Amino acid sequence: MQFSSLRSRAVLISLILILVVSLNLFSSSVRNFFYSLTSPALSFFWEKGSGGESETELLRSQVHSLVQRLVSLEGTEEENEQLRKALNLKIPEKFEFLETHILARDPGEDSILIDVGEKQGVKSGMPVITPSSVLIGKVGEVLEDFSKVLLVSHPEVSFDGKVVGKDISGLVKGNGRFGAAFSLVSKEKSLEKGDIVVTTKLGLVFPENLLVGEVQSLSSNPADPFQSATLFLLSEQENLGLFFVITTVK
Amino acid sequence: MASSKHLSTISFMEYDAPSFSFGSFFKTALVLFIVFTFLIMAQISFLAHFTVFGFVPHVVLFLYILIHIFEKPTSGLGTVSALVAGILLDLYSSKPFGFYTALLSAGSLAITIIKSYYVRFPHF
Repeated sequence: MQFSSLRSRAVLISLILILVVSLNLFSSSVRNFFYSLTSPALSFFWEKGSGGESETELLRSQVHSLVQRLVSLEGTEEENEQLRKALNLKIPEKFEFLETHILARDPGEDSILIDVGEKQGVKSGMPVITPSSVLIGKVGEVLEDFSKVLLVSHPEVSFDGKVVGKDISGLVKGNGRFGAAFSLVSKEKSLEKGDIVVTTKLGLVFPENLLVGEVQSLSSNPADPFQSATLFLLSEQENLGLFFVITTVK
Repeated sequence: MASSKHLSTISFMEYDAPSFSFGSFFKTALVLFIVFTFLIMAQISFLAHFTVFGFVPHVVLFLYILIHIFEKPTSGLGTVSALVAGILLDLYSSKPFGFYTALLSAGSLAITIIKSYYVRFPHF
């Protein structure tokens, strides 16, 4: 048989397209099977690409850990003050988590592939963080042995955030292409370049005080009652490949 | 051949595109599947660490375009590469199956039509 005309080519493409579209009926199994086959190679490529844990990356991670401690201390300070006022003890938050490794990163969709899935107890919506408590994103599609994580920069990800050490809160929203914005901030508040944005409990999307990003540039439209800022996501500096999926917040 | 007819007298479906057989289709598809699988794995796990002017190089798309520019009219390589690259991108994507296959196949048909009527590249 010869594909002698564009009509034949179009027919061939249509037939294969119908076959491919029908894979949507069991897409999870197909993807899981294919990822299982290619995960050793993906893991190998990822390690080669990241060049292992370089000194710079370790130092960055330590800086984030220290900032996280600072955030925790400030949180504790505020909490102590509230406790003094209310004379009521509060149990600090603790996480139960699963250790996971990144296999691949899709640059077109602001998502990453990790090596834990339904079998290990991962569910859609669970937060993913680095060892230094920098927020990576939340679990999107869950397969049997793998999961896709929507990064903070993914356009579908939005949550409430606040500025460390200031009474400023707003909405963090992914802009795509590894960018995010901090918007709906009251114009009366003094938002500044370099401010660190962390998560809040509001909306119950993420646990509070996870590091998100640093204010990079401010924008304010006179007609807009709010100001907004572009965030530099701290997760972009963390390239260690080891992450944690928070399964339970106690 | 269509090139001997006047453009306005034929529809694109009547245009006699270069032929390729089922046998060569599967052979080409297998080779391209291996090449594109390697490239896509390298892209999402290795090249994801590097950026050129803020963009991660899309080697799959780059090869797809190269094939379409330099393919011999008789090879049918463009159509096969569109299908194989589309299926592989669908496998690694969060989008529904068929999204990239449809996109790249449509692109392939469009490039074939444009090349057939308006462009003449030297073939090596």
